[in-house]
Amino acid sequence: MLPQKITDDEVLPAILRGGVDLDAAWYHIHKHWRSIWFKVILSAGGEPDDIDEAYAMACETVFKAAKKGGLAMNTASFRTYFVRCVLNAWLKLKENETRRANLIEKIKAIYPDDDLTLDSNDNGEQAQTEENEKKALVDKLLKQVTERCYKILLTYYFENKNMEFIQKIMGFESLITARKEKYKCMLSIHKFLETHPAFYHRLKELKRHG
Amino acid sequence: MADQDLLDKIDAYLLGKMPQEEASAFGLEIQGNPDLAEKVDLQRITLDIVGRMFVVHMKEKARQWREAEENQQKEIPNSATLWRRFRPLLLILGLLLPLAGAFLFCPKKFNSSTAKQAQLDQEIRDSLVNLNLKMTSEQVDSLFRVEQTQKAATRRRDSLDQIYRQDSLDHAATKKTIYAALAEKEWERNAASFGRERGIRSGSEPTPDNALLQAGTAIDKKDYRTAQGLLESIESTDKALYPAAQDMLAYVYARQGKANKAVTIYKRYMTASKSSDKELLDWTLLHYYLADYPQYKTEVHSLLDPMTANTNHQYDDFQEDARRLKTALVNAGLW
Repeated sequence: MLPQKITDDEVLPAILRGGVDLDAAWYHIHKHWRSIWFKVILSAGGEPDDIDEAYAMACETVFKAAKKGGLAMNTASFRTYFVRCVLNAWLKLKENETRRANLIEKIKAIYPDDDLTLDSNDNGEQAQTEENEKKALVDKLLKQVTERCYKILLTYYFENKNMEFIQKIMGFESLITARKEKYKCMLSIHKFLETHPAFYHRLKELKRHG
Repeated sequence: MADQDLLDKIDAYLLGKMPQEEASAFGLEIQGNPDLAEKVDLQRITLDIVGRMFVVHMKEKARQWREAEENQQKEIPNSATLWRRFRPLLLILGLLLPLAGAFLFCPKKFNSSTAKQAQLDQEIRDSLVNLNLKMTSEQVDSLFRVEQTQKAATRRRDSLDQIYRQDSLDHAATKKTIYAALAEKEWERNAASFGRERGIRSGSEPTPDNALLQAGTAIDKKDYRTAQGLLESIESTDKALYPAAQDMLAYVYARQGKANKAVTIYKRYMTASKSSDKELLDWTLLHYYLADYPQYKTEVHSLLDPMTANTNHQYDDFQEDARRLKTALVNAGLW
């Protein structure tokens, strides 16, 4: 089922409010603004899967900025900001400098007067490879996580909502039940890591390098 | 529950939600407790994973939304197929709709000719009544129905006036078609000869053994069905009665509106007749043709044209009669 429809002007307030309005905001951005970065990245050699990832990373960046109160802007500025976030996220994903150069040219062609700053990948090829490996490992683990746990953990750790909020939106009978459920979700990840020691130690190494 | 509380405490420590003093104390505890340190490491990695969870979750959603849109776009060719399938029907509807709309919304334009026709018809009705022909309204209506079949509406009134000024025409004939009315006059003249030439109308009582006489009586009574039965009972072997019977039978059929049979029978009579008066026979046949003029229009023309053109006739008034008949047909818009 698709999220409810909202307008361009309602996107930023929905992100700032968080909670149930978030999905509608992310969906609106993906549906109506995606064409801005989609063609650019595709023509620069990007794959649709990369673009989805860049979009997801941009959502994360924007949401974190919103939590810090750094999104005091109008709709047009916010759209430009979001597009920048997506393009930067894609650049981070890419290790091929030729593609970077192509993309930078295309971005400058679209935003000639914009003071868009493109992050460079200072960590080099080794760091990029490790980052990609880490992502691959984590993605493998997260496939084991249930949808219900996704929602609880995201709401608690990512949206920084308290357990009362989670109990309310997810319909738990009591606060104790909600906490138990969150604990079970965390344990399921712990259990996975404990039963895959090589995977766990690799993640620890990568974390240490990171 | 103890593990759950410990996990919450580790969370608070790692997420910076713990007061400074408590955090420092907990940090020291971690350093002195390898098991706790291991649990903190595990939770740190777990939180790192949860941090990635949002990106994975959003990426999956983006993929689903993108694929949903791509599927919608793939369905567009199906719509095009649907359009191609129903295009002829839609085109027909598209053509019919403006016509229907024009008919519905411009009734005056469409009905103006009808209104004019109705007005003209009323004028003709009034004119006919004013002609002092002592016609009943039924007769006028009947005549009017006849006239409606004629396209030359502008000439109708004049032609009807001319026809009805001819005293010889029976007004009762107006119940029939114009050409039939013209024909009946001659049929009557022909029927009158039945008695003169063959004694049918001589005033003598018909005898049971003479079917011809009995048929004549039935004709006088306008009992044409009986007359038809009697005349048909006369066999062709009866050389004395058969020719006259065919002559009378043609008249009976014509009176019953069976023009085809009348023509056939009268042609048979013409073949069997010993009369040398070819013009008179053709003249009578012409009037049987007139009973169904639309069908026998060619035959009427082929007979009447020479009669009007030829001045050398056996009877003095023959050419004049032919001309009058042709004029009547022309004026009625039938020629």
